[in-house]
Amino acid sequence: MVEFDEVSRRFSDTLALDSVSFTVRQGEFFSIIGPSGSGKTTTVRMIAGLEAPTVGTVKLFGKDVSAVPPHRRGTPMVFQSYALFPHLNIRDNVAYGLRMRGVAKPERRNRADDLLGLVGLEGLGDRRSEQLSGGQQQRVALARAIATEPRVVLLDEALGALDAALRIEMQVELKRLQKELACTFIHVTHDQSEAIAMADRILVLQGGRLEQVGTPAEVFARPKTRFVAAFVGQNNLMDATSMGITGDGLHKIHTPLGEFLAKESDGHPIVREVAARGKPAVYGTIKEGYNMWFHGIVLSAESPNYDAAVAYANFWHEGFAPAEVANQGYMTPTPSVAQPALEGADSPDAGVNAWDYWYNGGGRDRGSVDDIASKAAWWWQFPDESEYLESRWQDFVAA
Amino acid sequence: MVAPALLSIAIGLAVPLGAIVLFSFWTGTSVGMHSDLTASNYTNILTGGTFWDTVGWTLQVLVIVLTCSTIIGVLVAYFAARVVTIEWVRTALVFLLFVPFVVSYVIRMITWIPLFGRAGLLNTALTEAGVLDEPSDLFLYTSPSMMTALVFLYVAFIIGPTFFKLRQLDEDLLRAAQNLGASPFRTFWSVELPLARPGIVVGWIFVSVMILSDFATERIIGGGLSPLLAGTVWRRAELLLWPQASAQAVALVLITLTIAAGLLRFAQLERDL
Repeated sequence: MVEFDEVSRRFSDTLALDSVSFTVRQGEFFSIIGPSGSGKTTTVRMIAGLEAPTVGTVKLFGKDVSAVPPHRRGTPMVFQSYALFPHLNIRDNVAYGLRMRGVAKPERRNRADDLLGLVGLEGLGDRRSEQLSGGQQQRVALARAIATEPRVVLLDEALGALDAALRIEMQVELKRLQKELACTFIHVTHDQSEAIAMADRILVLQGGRLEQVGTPAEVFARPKTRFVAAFVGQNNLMDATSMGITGDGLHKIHTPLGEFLAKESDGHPIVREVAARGKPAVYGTIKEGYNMWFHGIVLSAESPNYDAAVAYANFWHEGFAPAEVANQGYMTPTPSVAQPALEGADSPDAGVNAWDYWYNGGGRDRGSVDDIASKAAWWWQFPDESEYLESRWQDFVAA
Repeated sequence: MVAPALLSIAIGLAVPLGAIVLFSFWTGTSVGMHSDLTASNYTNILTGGTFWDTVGWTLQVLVIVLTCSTIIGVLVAYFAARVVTIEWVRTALVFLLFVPFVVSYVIRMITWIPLFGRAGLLNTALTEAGVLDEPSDLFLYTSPSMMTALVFLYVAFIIGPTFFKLRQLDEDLLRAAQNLGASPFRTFWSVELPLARPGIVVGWIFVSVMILSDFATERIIGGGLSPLLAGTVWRRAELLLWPQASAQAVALVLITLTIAAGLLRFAQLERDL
């Protein structure tokens, strides 16, 4: 329904978007992520018509919209600054789109009040935006965007200005709204955990180039590029050197953490064996003519059992519920099993008790497990991820 | 520390104003005044028709000039703030706005005469082009010519604040308006204009105060036939009718303050300050 075909955008001497192609499907929650300056805001503005491509075509509902001005596109957007009209009260803000469509005053007021109810702001219609908190303003902006019953809603860093707790609350709410309205949400963020938590599919941009498009599981567990591995998983990256291929077709890889054997699988080489117990997850480049990426779970050589999975600690990113992972059987969240000996490892998080890492966020404040676990049913979006890891595990056990 | 400021306010403002208020209660004679207190200067103003006619005429001129200069001023401000996208062109335009003010007000007024007089540039051009059969008297020494002059004299005071208000405006609001289905014109009408209102009204206050105190334009360009309020005060003073002139001056100050206060309320500046 939204289609980018080799779209580039040049601002004087910088290329904000470099030949990007992707398609957003009907009813999808589509997240665009990337660091600042990656072109994600330019991308979403192009959908809204607030920015025009230098080269390439943008299609909306199958039609080239190059010549369609923003006010005829029907792609309402929630801005990071909320962009509520300060001279209008909340009700008139929400009703603005309807007013532009010529809906009569009593009708659009009723509709605005209904929408305010939908986003949990009943009775605040007469207030002015400056009298509302950031979270409330955010909801108003959302209500205003969905007032005209659009088929696609754009969210440009819509949750960026909220504090952490509120952001998680709004993520749940956005997801609920999107399901209820059965409309396509295109969501821009620099926060990968937000994208992973909400998106059906994620587009990763960097420096105006498309790095990867895929489900959160794909992007997270099978990053196509080193950038995606680093940005999405916040993994420890290591450079690795191939020491050649062994007799049974395995790559022998040398890393600062020791030597590994890797087997290519689905085009993604995975680490098969580990030299030391409890190392963090490993990503790296295989040099020597291969120049490919590998990633995997580092397992203990001495006792190949699940406690080795503590190494996931670095693999999983915040936003994943450890309790859920435990239920999947991949980790027993007891301090006794989670005592990896990481001495000697020269990764940034080396030496951190993995359970500690999860529980306390590796030194970063992340809230209690109970708190996260209460959201777990919703957070956990990787039915296929467990299968993926299971199959990797079976590979390992079989070998 | 405040003392010098208070002193200068006392000497520069309170004393002359106080004197005028005092004189307005003195008794006028044919060539001056003496200090017998009387309220007759005010009763004459309040009961006499001419004063109220002048007030009415002045307000009429004020409304017409404000209307015209608002239309022109907002258009120019919008052009400079939105249509011009090159930064240095915009800066140059803002600079040009203030260039007339380096020239004396009287000079600016007098330059109208060779342009719009009977033998002026405009009349010559129009007659030679065959638009007019003979030179028109309408362009100079008439009320419309006076109002036109006032508009062009003071329109910069509307352009300035409006321009800055428009530039200050969060561009996301414009994007949001368009994004929600507003055409560029409706964006202007429903978002930019209401949000630029404080700027426009500040301009109105400037222009109103200046028109209410203007006594020269009406003479130089208007021909002196239909004086504005400040002009009548001037004329009384010229005739050495000090108490009458003072009473009218006090009335003028009160009218000016009322208009300025009303406009300030309308601007809702407290939301911006």
